Amino acid sequence: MSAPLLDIRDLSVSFRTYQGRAHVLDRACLTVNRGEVMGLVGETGCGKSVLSRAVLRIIPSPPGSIDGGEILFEGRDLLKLPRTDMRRLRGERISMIFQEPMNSLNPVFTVGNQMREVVRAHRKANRSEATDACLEMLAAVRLPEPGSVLRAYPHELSGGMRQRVMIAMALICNPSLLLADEPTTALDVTVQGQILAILAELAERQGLSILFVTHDMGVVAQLCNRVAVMYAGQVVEVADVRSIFARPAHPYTRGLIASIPGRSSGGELYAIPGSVPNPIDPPPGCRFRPRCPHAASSECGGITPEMTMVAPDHSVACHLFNQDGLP
Amino acid sequence: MSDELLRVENLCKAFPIGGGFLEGKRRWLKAVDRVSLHLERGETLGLVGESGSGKSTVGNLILRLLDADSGSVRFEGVDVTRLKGAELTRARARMQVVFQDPQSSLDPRMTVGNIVSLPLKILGLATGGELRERAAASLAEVGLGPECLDRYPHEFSGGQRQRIGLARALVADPAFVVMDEPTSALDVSVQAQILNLMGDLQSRRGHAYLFISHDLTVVRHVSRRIAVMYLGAIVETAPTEKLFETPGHPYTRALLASVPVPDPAQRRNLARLTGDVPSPVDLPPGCRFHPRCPEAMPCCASVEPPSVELSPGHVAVCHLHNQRNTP
Repeated sequence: MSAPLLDIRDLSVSFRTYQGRAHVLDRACLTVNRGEVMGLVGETGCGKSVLSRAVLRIIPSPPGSIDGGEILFEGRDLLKLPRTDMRRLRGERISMIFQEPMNSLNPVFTVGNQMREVVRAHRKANRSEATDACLEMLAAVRLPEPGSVLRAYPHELSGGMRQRVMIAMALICNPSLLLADEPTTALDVTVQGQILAILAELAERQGLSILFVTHDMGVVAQLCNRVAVMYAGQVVEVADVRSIFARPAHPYTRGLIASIPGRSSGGELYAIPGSVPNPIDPPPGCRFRPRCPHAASSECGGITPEMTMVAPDHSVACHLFNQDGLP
Repeated sequence: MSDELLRVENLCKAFPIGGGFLEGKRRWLKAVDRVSLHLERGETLGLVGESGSGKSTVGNLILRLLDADSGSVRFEGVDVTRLKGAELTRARARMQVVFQDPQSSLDPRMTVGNIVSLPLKILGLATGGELRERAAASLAEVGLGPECLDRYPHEFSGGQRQRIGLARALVADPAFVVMDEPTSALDVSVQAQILNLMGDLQSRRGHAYLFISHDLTVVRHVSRRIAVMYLGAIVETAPTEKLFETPGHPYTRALLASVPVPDPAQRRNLARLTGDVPSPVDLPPGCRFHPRCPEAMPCCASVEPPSVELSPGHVAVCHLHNQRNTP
């Protein structure tokens, strides 16, 4: 197998707060292969958004700081890249779309104005060449009447249209990696369906890799090839999408999947007891131990579990599995 | 029916848009257009729809948080749309509400004890030490200890705050509780805790819920019957399993097909509808769904569709069934 497109190794990020230093990412590891849609799931505050932002180095500093680790993208460590190179990379090789498209577009410029700026920042193009590129991309995300969208201001568009504009803008320079941070969470379900279909099509047609950050296991099941599950700043399980749903290994993943409502009506849902630990003072050893129904051995309370392979393309960080990957 | 708790008939509410200085002609946004529904004691009716469909407005109209333009709301045999003063207060003691955002629906400057006992104080159901006692009892029912009484809302997590909201709603022992998107701000594992708690409380105390949500999987889990709203009107009502097995309205079918199923073995095209929900200011003539409907016929653009009962308790408002029934 060729080297992954994105290889995040032992990434640690912390934020300074009044209560102390919050360790939001603690030696998180993640890979994204070429042409795949990688799902990154976890609950609020688990660090999934911070992880995606760290790739583009857009974590506000201070209060945030990247404390260690490597982010290898196309063989280069992004954390060691000079700022000018990093700036060229953003939007051209790696792009990002966010949850709230209204906050990501400038309200006082037309869509065309903002889109052309992206094109002309990255390649030599005159105004009409840039406009042609924009129209082509807007058509690719299935916006009706691209010409009038180009002349519109963001407030004149609906939420779904704005998110399509964001996708068009992100992909106009044909990047190899798209970081998508909950891009459909603010949208209605019928519009979400349209956006997911567009992303799936673009990934397939352009060979685009997507790191799709979400808390919605339904979206993961429908869109992603592989899934990484995060808990309290650590990646605790990575597997192909079918294994995650059919044979979840980590007790947290099992709880997460069992708590999804609506497989049938009625009955008790499984609820993971307790709540997410405080990142300022996380529990020692396995961070899931205080909520884990299987926590027993003294190992759980003392030693942070390492990622072990339990099946091909399926790794988990849990003391239930020994070094040979056996339960 | 002797068990009937609530009967809403032809409820209408329109909001004025513009009409002020420099705002141009006044237009009307029909938020709720001839909505009828009924609820039996101890049952849960799910009300689903996309943003802007008017589902929250229906809840607010029933609770008299908004005044209806026309139509009636008979609650325990009394039309609450006409009530005033002490009679309204008495009716309100029997109906309560839990809101979506547990952050903004709890006063940050009040202690939890005061928040929970406030309905009793306002309704004159208890005074002095009894207030605190009953607040503690209500908190105990939602799984919070008496030590919470003197703490403030910001000291609690989202799930705990929603428990406080639930304790406040139930303290005066209502017969009917409107749940307005109670779990959409919560993570899935916490959502499971709240949904289970809601079910437990209902089986113990026998109150009815109007469960408003955009999330079909959640609604399916909690409701016995479901009403689907689109642009201010109910387009289909059915017993829960009927709605999922044989949806009668094309909008319901599209909505169900757009939900990402949390099972990678069941992948499908989620883009079942094109376009966005149109503005409720200028409703399309005829059937309000016809511009997006994949099965639209010529008559849909001009004639309002009739309500057709497909089976006992299963009503769809659509021309498709009209033609089948009367060839």
